[in-house]
Amino acid sequence: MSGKFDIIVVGGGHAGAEAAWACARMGAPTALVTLSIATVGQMSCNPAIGGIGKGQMVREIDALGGLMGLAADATGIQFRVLNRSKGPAVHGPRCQSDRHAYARWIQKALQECPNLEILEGEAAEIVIESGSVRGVAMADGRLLSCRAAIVTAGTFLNGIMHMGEKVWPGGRYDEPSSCSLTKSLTGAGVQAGRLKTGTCPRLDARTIDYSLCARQDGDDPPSPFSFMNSSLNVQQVPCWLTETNPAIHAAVRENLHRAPMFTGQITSVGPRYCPSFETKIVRFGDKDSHQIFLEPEGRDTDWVYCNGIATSLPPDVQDFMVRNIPPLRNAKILRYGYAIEYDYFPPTGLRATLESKSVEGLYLAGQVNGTTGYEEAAAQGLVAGVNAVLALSGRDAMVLRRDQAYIGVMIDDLVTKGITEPYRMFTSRAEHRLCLRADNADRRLTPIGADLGLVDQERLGRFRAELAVGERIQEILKETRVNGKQLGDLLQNPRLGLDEAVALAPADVAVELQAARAAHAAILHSVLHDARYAGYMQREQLALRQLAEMDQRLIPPDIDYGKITHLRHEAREKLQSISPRSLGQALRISGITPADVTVLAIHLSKHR
Amino acid sequence: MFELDDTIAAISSSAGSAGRAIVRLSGPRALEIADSLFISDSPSAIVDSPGFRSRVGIVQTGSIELPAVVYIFRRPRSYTRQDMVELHIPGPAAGAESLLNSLIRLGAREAGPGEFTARAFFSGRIDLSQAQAVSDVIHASGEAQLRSAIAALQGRTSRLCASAASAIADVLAEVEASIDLGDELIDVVVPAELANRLDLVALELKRITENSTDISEIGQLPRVVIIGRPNAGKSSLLNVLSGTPRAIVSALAGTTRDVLSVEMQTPHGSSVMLQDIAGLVTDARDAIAAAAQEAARAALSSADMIILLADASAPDGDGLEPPEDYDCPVLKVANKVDLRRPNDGAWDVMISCRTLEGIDLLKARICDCLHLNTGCSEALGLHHRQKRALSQAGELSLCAASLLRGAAEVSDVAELVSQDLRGALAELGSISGRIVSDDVLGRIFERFCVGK
Repeated sequence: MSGKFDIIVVGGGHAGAEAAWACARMGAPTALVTLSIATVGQMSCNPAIGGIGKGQMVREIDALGGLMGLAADATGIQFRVLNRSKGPAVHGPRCQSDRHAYARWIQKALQECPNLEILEGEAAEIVIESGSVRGVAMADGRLLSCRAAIVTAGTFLNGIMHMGEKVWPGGRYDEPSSCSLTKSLTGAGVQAGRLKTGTCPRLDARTIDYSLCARQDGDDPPSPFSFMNSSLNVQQVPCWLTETNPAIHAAVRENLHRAPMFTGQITSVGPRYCPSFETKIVRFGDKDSHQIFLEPEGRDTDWVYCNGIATSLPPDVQDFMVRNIPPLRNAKILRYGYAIEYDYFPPTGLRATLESKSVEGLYLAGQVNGTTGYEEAAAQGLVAGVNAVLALSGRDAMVLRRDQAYIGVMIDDLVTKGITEPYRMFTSRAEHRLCLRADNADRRLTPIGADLGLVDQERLGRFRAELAVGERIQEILKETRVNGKQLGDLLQNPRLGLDEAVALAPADVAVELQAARAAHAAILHSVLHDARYAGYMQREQLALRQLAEMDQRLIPPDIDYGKITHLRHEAREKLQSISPRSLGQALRISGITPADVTVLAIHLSKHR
Repeated sequence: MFELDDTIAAISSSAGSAGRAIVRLSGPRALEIADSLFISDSPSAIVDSPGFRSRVGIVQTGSIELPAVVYIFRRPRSYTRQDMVELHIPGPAAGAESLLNSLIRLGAREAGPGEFTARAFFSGRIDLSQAQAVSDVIHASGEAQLRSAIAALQGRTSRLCASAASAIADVLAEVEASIDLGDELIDVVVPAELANRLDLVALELKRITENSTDISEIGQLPRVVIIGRPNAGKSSLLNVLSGTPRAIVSALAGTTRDVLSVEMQTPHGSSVMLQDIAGLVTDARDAIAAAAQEAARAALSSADMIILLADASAPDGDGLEPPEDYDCPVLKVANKVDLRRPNDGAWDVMISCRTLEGIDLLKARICDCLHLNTGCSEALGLHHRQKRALSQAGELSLCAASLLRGAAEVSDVAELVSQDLRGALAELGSISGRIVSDDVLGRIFERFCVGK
């Protein structure tokens, strides 16, 4: 073997970058294998980070000591908190990014990271001996040895691209796909399936008449993603809004016989919440206009992303579509939209650590697990990286709970329920949404990141200082009485904000709150949000305790469901294939009823 | 905790003198155990016969041989989803007892109460509300209760919950859409409209609970205590009202020494418990009589209504005094009016247990006093637990509705409303034991054209 590593990460997308970063930061000799160093950290679809549910996850990655929040802050060109007018639990930070600057920032961070080596080349095979990962065989003949491999190959595995009648193999536009890796995994017992995704045409900014579009600006001041940035000094650029019209819809309808989505050329499932334009026309025939967001791909580029019209229709139809939207009448398409089908590995084959159940030391993260989105991928990369290191050093796994992090919700959903379409985070997936806020991600997760060794001293120091401020504010809310009531209780009224609280409070308290607003705005607001939701959170405590109880009742991994004769056949099969770690997880498997779990509990109590 | 994977047996026909007795077996060894005491008229053994067959033959139990029909239900298409056998033998019950003992000697275990149903429930054959209904059918103490228990068994409770849950989930989907797709300018309905929909759900839940009849636990029937002087005809009245010759009736005063309890069907199909207590005499002649007096007082203190029964034919007229402490309606009834008709209006009802004069009127008055005639016979029978869950779900819906009414936009209170509605769905889910589908996202994508 020509190289010896503890961990090899295959793929340099958002999952791969976080995985490699986490492994190396935790001290494991790590290699990142990528087809091309220049594409590490690339945004293959829209030039944006965050959003509703996703933004919360970026904050969580940041709180644990990951890269994405820092990279987004450093390279964002427009920052907006989505749902800003709604309750703080559903605020979703988002930014438009300079996609080239973003990739460069990630590349630099990884290149400067100790313990990490970036290797160019195609990983052809994961070498597996007697059920354990031994190394990675490269297409050029090199053999790299490792004790764990993290596969984050995105859409590259047997990728097939579609544009109208044209079909060709590829991993991304103009990039080759990877053809042999899937086989080395399925050979070892890993299941594989196919999914589909797509992207929109890109336009030349110089050919767009923005005077006919509605302008959308960022927030002033912009809110950063990372805890490490209390403010951002950034020159923001606008996005632009336009819409489709009946003429275009008619043209799409007339050309459905040439749309791979409808001709049978594409057979795999794509995301419902991110449908292609032609799918929108077919499914929602009564709408005669759809929005298009024109998003600049960077500061120094003329490329513009057309958010809203992902399509794999033939180029002439795409041309017609674009030219019949008034602001785009003269627009030049720099790259046509396309669809891609790719291999994924059903995530029910994974443990909550993202390690494969069939192969020891094999971790999977990102789009290969059937998710979509940079943030979902990055979060999985981080979890896989952390757990790979923990497993190699014999430490306890990091499994985040559903009431602890969106990351925990996502991974529990993936490994417990599996997927039927590419999985995207929504806040409605989180039953404990009021606890899982962007504003308290640090308090939820930074202590965990610190224990892992992912959080550096600078962050930890600052975190502890903020925490102390937060505790002082909690004390104020509890001890200040207004008309015989605790100030904190008054804040449960959603109409009562910080200003009203300051106005109600006695003078000395008002001064202290104002001072906190000036110097510690983030933690101040976060604690006020706690108070706002306190009533609901209290109500949730009982349910949470029951959940915790169920989650603590572990199921021995060697249990033979075939022997529990009273279990329904379907339940037996589901449990066998998912092998939940606890009764709580068993209950969350789709199609498993409380009665099934009771049978299981009876069985376990008898055979203890 | 129940064992679930051994073989259980029980007499499943009711005790008493039924025309035939049924003994049931369920579990992995059911066929084999049945085989070892059944001699079939046909050559093949039970274990070799395919599912859903019957066999005629003879069962041997102890030294007795009984003609029998054996029904075979193979798993998983049986009630418990296990192999099941029913042995039908001619009554009386003694034969069934002996058969059950033989089965137990052969390795079956005598099933606890409700154990067959528990197996059906745990195997997913029936849901929680249906399981509850099975036990209600068995314990139904009135025609109306029986009807509503059967309705529940057929899934009526679950269906009602499912329809309310679906309405709530629809509103929840709108609320969630305003959160998760808030930046996509989708057309979200105005808060008042959602509030109105939730009010309707709450109203419907309220209607269900209010129109439901209580399925009371055994022994929780309304109690009607009949008191009167010795030989006023209390036992006769009890027999007439219940339609069963339960109390020993004799012309000798002081015959009834214990509290006799008998169920009575009301004309509306519900049941009440009639209690005939020892004739209230102040000078108990012996220890036994004294103990009976004590039991009588206890029965009185838990009565839901009292019938003061007097002998209209007694020479001293009524001479009836109400008991010392009671806290319930009292009906004054004159008996034996066929012998001597009292002429004053001091009586609520005048009856004769011998000629049955006034008995229907008395039954109606009992129902009036106990407010039993409001329950319509089609009402859904609900347990306390189910009622509480329904009313919780209604309350949470109203909470959400009031939050929405106070808001200018759905999105202003969306995350709080969602919390209430999720709570309501959980309550409804607890009734059928089924977690209400978490397909809120599915509902959203059906309705809204989203995706940038």
